[in-house]
Amino acid sequence: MIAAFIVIGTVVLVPVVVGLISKEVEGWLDLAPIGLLRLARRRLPADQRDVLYEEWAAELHEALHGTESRPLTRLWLGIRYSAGLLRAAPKVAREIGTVRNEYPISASSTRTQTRTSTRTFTLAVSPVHFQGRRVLLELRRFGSGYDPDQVNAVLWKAANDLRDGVDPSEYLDAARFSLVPGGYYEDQVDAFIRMLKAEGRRTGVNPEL
Amino acid sequence: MQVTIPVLRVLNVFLEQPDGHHYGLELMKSTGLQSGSLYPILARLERMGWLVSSKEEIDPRAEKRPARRYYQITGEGVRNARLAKAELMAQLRQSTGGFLPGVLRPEGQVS
Repeated sequence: MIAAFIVIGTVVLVPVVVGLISKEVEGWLDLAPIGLLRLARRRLPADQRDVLYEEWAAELHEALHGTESRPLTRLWLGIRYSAGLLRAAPKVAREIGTVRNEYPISASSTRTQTRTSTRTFTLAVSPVHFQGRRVLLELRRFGSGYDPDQVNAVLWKAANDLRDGVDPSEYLDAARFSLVPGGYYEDQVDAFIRMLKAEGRRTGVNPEL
Repeated sequence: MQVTIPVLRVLNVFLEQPDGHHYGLELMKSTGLQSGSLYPILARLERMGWLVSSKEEIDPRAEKRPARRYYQITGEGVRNARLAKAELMAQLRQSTGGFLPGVLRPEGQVS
């Protein structure tokens, strides 16, 4: 009788336990590439982390849950994907510059909310179009920043000049903006102007503004 | 912009279907490039205005996956990529005496 129980227990329970352990191990294996990707995220500048990590995490999700979903295959694919980005993350950030500096601002709204642990506040933003894409310059909710009217006028002129093949670097270098309450964040405007000057210095380029 | 063979592989995917949208993992498979090589190239092409990218508008819960970022070549990108491709092919043809190894076919077409 006891022997029968042992046999039945072995036949029924062992596969179940093996299956559970297998699933547990699979789950742990999936964590390795995710962990590597999080390390890659930490190598990015703070203002680019979220938008780039979001893209990479979506790709990794497909690598881990796609058609090639055998555990060791997806572990290999996932680790190779994440390790490559761990190495290349700073280079990606340098290459992309401020072009995709759109976080945490919603792509479809000119106002968005950012939640902190203690309070919720609103960031106002103003989109500037450059080469067919929106460059979002944030308006300060508190404190002073560059006068939006002055900045917009200069950026508009620079955009038109670039389109006509004229280098705007000279007057962009000389541009000085007043500080007004609720103005643009200065570092964002300065970064955008640096990008415009770089475009102006390039020869044979006719950006679509 | 310096167009190398890896950059050309990426551009070639976009040139095959100029109005197509591609995402990173798909481009890794079609170009054979690893993530560490592909994403810096995509970032540079985007900064130069040859590519634009946009986040896919889906409901992640309904689709059961996160939204991807899709890349598309711009008109400027098509023009510049074709020019760069022709220049690179000419240089390679010159330096190899007409023989173009690897992904480049002898007649100057990129596979």
